[in-house]
Amino acid sequence: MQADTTRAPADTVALTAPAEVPFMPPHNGGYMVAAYVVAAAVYLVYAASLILRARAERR
Amino acid sequence: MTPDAARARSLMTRGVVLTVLALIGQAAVMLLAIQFTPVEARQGMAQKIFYVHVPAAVIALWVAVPLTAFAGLLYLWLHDPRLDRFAAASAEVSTVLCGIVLATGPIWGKPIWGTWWTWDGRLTLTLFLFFLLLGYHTLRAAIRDPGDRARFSAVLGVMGLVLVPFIHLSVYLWRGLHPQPVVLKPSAPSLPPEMLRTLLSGFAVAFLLYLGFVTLRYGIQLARDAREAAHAG
Repeated sequence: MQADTTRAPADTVALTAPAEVPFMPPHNGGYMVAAYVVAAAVYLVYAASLILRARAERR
Repeated sequence: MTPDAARARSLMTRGVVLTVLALIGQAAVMLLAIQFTPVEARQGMAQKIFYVHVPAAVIALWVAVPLTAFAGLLYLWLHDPRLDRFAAASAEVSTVLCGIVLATGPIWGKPIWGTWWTWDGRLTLTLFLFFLLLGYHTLRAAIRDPGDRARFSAVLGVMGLVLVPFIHLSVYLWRGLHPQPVVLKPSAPSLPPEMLRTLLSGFAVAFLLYLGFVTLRYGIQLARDAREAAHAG
């Protein structure tokens, strides 16, 4: 007699969530924070370098 | 004070005001993106890197690098030192914007692609453009004669513009990992209105940053040139 492969055994769980469970986005906010910090740092350092160069030229 | 020195002072003051306003605007765009823009379902919060990365890329590729090249081309024709000053200022800001693009892109790539870097056509060509811009500044620093410096760097600036269409079309030509455009494409932008609003604010602020930085950088160079002319005279 062959085993019925179309039905999941009673001790397994479905890998896909039921339709009523909302889809959860991945938790990767740390990457966003890192990118924003890097961008802000580059802009601020460049702005500071320009302002310091301008101040030196004014003297 | 010579008229050029007075004009340089006025430009530097205007540049500082514009830059400070633009930096405040950049902080506001980041706040808008974090707090008032929906989270993309599949990419999560990492998608919000888009609001810093894309405006920097668009202003670098479609404003800063082309204006550097056009100013260089016009310099080769007219030999006006104002054009060389503008080209040098615009190239410096292009380098900063390209640096932002190359720094924030991999930070998005790691959670979404699973790797910091891949030799995808768009990434590779953008890296080439960044190196070309670094070469531009190295060349300027290495040449003492102002005429030669302006002429040679103008040619290199035009070379940067040649890369721009290839960078834009690379996602269609080679179909690598980099996403295709969602705004700068023949059809309507494929973004929800809240995301589009934040992205457009990002474009406006990146453009204002470009204007502020270039005005300030141009003013510094004009002041330097006026000082050198006064010493020579």
